[in-house]
Amino acid sequence: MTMLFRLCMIGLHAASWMVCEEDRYEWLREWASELWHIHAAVKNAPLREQMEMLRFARGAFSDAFWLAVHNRRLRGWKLPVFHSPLQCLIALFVLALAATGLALIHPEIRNAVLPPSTYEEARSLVLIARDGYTQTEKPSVRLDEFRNWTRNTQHLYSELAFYQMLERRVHIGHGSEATLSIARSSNNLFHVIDSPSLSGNNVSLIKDKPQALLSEAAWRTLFHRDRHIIGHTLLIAGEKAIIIGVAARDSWQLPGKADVWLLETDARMNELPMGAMGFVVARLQTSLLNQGAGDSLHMLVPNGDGDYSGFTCTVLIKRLREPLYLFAFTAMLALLALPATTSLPLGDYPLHPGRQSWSIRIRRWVFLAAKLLLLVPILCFGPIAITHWAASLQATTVASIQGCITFATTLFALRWMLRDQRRRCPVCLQLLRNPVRVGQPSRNFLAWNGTELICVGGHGFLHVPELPTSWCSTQRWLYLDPSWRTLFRPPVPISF
Amino acid sequence: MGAETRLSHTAALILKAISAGYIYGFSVMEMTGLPSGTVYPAMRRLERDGLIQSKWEAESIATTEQRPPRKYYKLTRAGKSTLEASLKRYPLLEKMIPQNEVEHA
Repeated sequence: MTMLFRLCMIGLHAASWMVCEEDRYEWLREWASELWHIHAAVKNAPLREQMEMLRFARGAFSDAFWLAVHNRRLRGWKLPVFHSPLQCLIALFVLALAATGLALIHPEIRNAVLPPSTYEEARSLVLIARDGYTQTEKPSVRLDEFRNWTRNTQHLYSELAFYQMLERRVHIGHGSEATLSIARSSNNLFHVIDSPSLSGNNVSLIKDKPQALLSEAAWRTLFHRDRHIIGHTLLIAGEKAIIIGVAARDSWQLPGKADVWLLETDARMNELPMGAMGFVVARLQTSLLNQGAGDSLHMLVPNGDGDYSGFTCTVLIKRLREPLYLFAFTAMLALLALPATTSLPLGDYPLHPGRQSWSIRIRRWVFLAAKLLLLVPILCFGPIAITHWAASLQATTVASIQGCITFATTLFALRWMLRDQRRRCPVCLQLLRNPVRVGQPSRNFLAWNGTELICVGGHGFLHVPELPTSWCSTQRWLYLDPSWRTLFRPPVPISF
Repeated sequence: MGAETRLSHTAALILKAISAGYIYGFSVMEMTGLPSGTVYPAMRRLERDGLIQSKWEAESIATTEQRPPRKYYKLTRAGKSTLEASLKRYPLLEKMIPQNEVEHA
């Protein structure tokens, strides 16, 4: 057999997974037979002619796909059932891989999973928001409060910066205009953030004129990747700003999605109304960090009428990791709700020295642990990925959706995990089949009634009581003597 | 499936090939020049519609010749009448596919 033939056979086996289990054997037999005949005809021919095998095997995928779609139409869409433990783990592994991949593609989720590297000393960078606004993307700090803090909170913060999000028509040259999302900020914003990927080339050189930093997307779509854009002037709502650079993609991790960052001069900042609302970022003093200030600080600030306003300073890393904290919280809630949806015991498996060695018992628990381990990335990254792809939604909405999806999926998955474990043979871990009703409810006091399932490998029966009683409270496994083995076919091996 | 069934040109071509004695998948491919990804799904559709039926070659014959058995296809009565109707619609099919001299079971 040539290597190409073996390769084609692997391809046929891979395609056969699309075909339903009942038709798979015959489907594979037909394709393998034809491939064998082609191989017999071309095996001594030059490689170019041998490629006929590859072309032939490629068609198996179309055929298998057609059969899969056709069968689904005939029989209706059903969730796949993975009878073999290996199939079950492979399916979970693929799902876990897909969820992790989706999560790592999305920058926000990647930042939540991996520590952000775009900001220097992210541990000391805090976002200050009025109480009740920490989880939102709404501006909550007035400009006069920010000015007050810059004068009076030097013992807390080494530096503070203010920015607000605006929608403005921007003249982008050649007579064309576009409505852009603009982050208008104090000119020290990037100094506070201290991100090399956000700083423009000449950011520190021009302080007496407004400066603009373009987002990578705006530079790409509006300025057609013009490499000589730096130094040009943008007209933003009648105000001229010099373009100082282009921010790297995904480098902005603070609230608001900006196309342009407009760094105002001090004089222009002073012209803004006192009540202008915005966001405030600050650098914590090193002394506070050394004292172990934690992930968030609470600040009470006296306002004019003798009352106090509360503000929360949240460390940026904590803010970025909120999706993970939310997952942990909702998963815990789902865990608490689990006993309300299914019973927790895995069943009664009487000790049978001949049939239940230590390795078999351990294997059963390892299988359960493996399922749980593979479910964690699916349940963690899946909902985060789904909700964060809807980037246009507000942060609170995203968090609510993520919480709901995580709770529902975690509850469902944990329930499935336990039920799946209970429906498996303790010896071969194959799913039990052929459920039959046994007994009658009227005879519950003399016998038991419920469902009996059988292991196709002939290892035993599972009796699941319909009504838990003191003598039959949980499902019970009944081992079959090896002499029964001849009546059963061996479990289907997973092979190529 | 009645004789009035209207087939696409590809399906009629495959039906004609089977009728002409090209009775397994690869021979149909060779005769029609169609790729396997077209021929096999088309044959599944024809079989589903009752125009052709398949049968595995006897194991003993394949074993004697030291090869795996092949799956053979043949036209049903409905298939024959559908082919006749299709030949009126696609008259060139008759010329495109000559009768295979070696007829298999």
